[in-house]
Amino acid sequence: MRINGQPLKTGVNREVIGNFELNFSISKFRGYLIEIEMRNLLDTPKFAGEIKIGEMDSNGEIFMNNFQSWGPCTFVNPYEVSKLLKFSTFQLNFGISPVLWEFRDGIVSDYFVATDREFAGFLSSNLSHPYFKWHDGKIDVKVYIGKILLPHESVKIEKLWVYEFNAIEDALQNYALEVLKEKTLRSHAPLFGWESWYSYYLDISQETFLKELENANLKYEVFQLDDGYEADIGDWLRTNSKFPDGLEFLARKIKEKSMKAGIWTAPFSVSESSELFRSHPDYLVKDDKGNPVVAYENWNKKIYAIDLSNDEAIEWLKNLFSTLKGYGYEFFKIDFLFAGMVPGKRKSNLSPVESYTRGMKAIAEAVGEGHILGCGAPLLPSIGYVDSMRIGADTAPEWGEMDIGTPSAKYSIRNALTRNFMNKWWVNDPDCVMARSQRTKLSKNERMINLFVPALLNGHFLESDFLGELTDEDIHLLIDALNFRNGHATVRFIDGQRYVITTKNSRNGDVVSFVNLSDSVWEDNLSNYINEKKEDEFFISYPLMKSAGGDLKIDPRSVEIVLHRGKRYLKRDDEKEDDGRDIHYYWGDDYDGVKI
Amino acid sequence: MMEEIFTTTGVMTMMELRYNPITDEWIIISSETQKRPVLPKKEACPLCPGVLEMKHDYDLTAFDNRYPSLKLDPPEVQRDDFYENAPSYGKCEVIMFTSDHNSSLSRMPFGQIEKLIYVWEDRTRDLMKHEKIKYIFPFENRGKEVGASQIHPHGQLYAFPFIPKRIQAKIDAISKYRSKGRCAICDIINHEKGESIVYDGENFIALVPYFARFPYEVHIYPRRHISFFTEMTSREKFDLAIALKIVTSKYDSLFDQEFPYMMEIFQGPVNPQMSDFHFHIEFNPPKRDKVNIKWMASVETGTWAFINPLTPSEAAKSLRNASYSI
Repeated sequence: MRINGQPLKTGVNREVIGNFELNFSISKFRGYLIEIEMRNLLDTPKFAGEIKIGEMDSNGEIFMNNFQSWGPCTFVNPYEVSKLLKFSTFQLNFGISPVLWEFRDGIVSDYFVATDREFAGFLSSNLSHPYFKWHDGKIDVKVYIGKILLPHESVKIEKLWVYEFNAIEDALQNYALEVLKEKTLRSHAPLFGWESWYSYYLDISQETFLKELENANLKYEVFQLDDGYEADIGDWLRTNSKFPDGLEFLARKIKEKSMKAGIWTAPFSVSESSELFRSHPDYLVKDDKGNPVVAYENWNKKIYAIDLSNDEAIEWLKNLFSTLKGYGYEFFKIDFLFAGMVPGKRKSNLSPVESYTRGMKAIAEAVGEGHILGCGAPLLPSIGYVDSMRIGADTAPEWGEMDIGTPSAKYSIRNALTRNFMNKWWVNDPDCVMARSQRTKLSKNERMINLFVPALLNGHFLESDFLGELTDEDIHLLIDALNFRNGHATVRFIDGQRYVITTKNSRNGDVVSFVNLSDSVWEDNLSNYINEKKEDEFFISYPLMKSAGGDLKIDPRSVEIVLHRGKRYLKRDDEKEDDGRDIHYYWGDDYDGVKI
Repeated sequence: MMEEIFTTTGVMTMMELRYNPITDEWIIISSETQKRPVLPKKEACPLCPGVLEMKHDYDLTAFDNRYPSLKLDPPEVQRDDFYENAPSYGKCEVIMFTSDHNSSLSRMPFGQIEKLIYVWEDRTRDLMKHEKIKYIFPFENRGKEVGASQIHPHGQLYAFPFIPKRIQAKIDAISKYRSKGRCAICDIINHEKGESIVYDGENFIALVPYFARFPYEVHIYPRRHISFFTEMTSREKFDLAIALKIVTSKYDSLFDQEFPYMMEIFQGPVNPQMSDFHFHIEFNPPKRDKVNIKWMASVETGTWAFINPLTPSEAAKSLRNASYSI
């Protein structure tokens, strides 16, 4: 890392870039912490766009991260990705990046990046969007602000943390902790639930939803209606003709079965055909010509972005979520959130990131104790505003080979593994699990990955199946996976396709799991991954429940689960009842209260 | 054995052991006058944390039955000039498998069953310290068909001051088989290869015995000739948990219902310890099919001769094919 052309060293540093002055304060703390203040040198207001604040060298593979939920977080060869993007017909949009122009001559890693030995990560995204642009073997360290600075106004830019690492996993864990120092979190426990998307997609109706509700016989904590109920994108409180009795009725039906009622929305998105678009064009982010900015296209429509710097739009947003809460909803999956952060003209002089967090704060205030699951969301600015966060691409009932944020069982799970460290910021949502053996193109082994990896990582466990169609075997597989939840997991990266999960204290005890996402056999030895020796130690391969040997051969696209067991000690407390009877309380070391 | 937790009882106070000279067996006479406990609310489960029996949260517990048939400090008995009787010495405990009201052996994580085995071991070790205790018998009655009044997963344990009649029959059979110089259960394990097997683990085997008395009877045998929980290795306890999980889970799958059963755990007698006894577990389910019950009627009760309406190998096949969760 170089600042102002110089290698990092503690002290202060000054650099003038155009009409702005950058003042750096560099201190040593488990690496280097760089604090940056930026000042408009002019006597006139000046728009601050992208600012380069340093650079790194990288000729080899890098570990990169996309800014939002669905985007990849993985090892890449930047030359190959760059070439691929240059020659592909893939359409870039603001769902890929808020700094799209940077892809003309490079590729972007948002929030953090790692070379073969150096990790650099921004600790917040409060004002600007921080990112790393790779081009021609160099990495530019940049932020995009996107607002006007008043004459001589100074602003603090996000802190940057630079760390030399031995293992990338350690760097990510430490990074997560550094980020936490800047934030106050909302906190909720991981949930077991059902949602409608991967069974019905947009074909969901009141009738089918109620049928699924009737078939919900497991102890789901939340039952969530996904996309497909609304009159249009933006018109959330008006249901379409498939939902004749409205949203309040459905919330009541869900609560009658003692589950939290969940509802999906895309609250920062407005479709070109919506009533909201017609009645409130003033709510939208505009381009330089005053036309609404197309944030993305979906549902065969142009989708515009809500201007969250607009007080009236914020009031509309608060009213939307207060109403849903009033209907009885307690679980809010809010999707396509990146729309709130698109660059453009806004009513007030707030940066895209400031506008976004203003919108998120409004939702958080409106739902109070309700649970917010972010999705399609810029990650760093969402910390503290969501209870849980999708951390990968949509999954799918097929494996999928495209690592571009589009639906894929493979890459959804890959991100759940590489972004597991984010569980310090929120409850990770690896996206839905599907236990079904019918209406899926996943093989048994691929289904095992889809079911067991989310359980072993202990984020949300949201099922999306046709509940009435599950076979006994499907249900047993689901229950089996549930019994691997409640643990604390760390993930070791072997490479971009192979991972080892160490789960401590799952319901089934300590587990070491080998996840092979590649198409080739993985041969390894268990002893390479056992750090802790147990009394009377033994290893059991699951699900055959036979002794596991040291040498392992993990089939392509499969997960090998090894239980790490030993002698157990139960704590015993003896009490005497008033009538003289003895009562002995026994406690396992894994007990953490009454659980499903 | 009837479920005795929270049952209302008669008006007589009587608690003693009486000897039947006709059959050479001891009978437990037990009638208590305590009133049924008043529960905080009608639908409350007395076994859930903080309701009645356990004042606070718990993982597993073992506690003295509120209405015991046997006690360490039994009332004095009035001697009879003709009959032989004795104080009801012993222990009746309730063992809570989990604080999760809606669980069961078939549904709980195997780690919880593993802990339960450690509890059974600890109770065995504790109770065998009482010299007058001769036999320690943990069991579970599951389902109203076998008298269970509470669905919260729990079992019981009786510590007898005598060797119960059927246990004595088993001991006599062991002695008889010993004339061949071998153990019957060890020989069965070596002999059984396929059609009776329900689960074939490294340390435990579950099978429908050739001589099953109940239609879906299952026995679980340790491969090693051990007599007590206290002799099991950590690995054996783990494997027993797996065997119990698989068998009970298969039971539930068999007719897609919460399958009622009596689960009886047979360890060797204690004080003195009988080390030649091969530990085993019997599941005696009353169901003959999805709807009907195989009753313990006159022949079974009067003569101890059982008529099993289902070929054991057929039962084994159904159970082998039944799906299960681990």
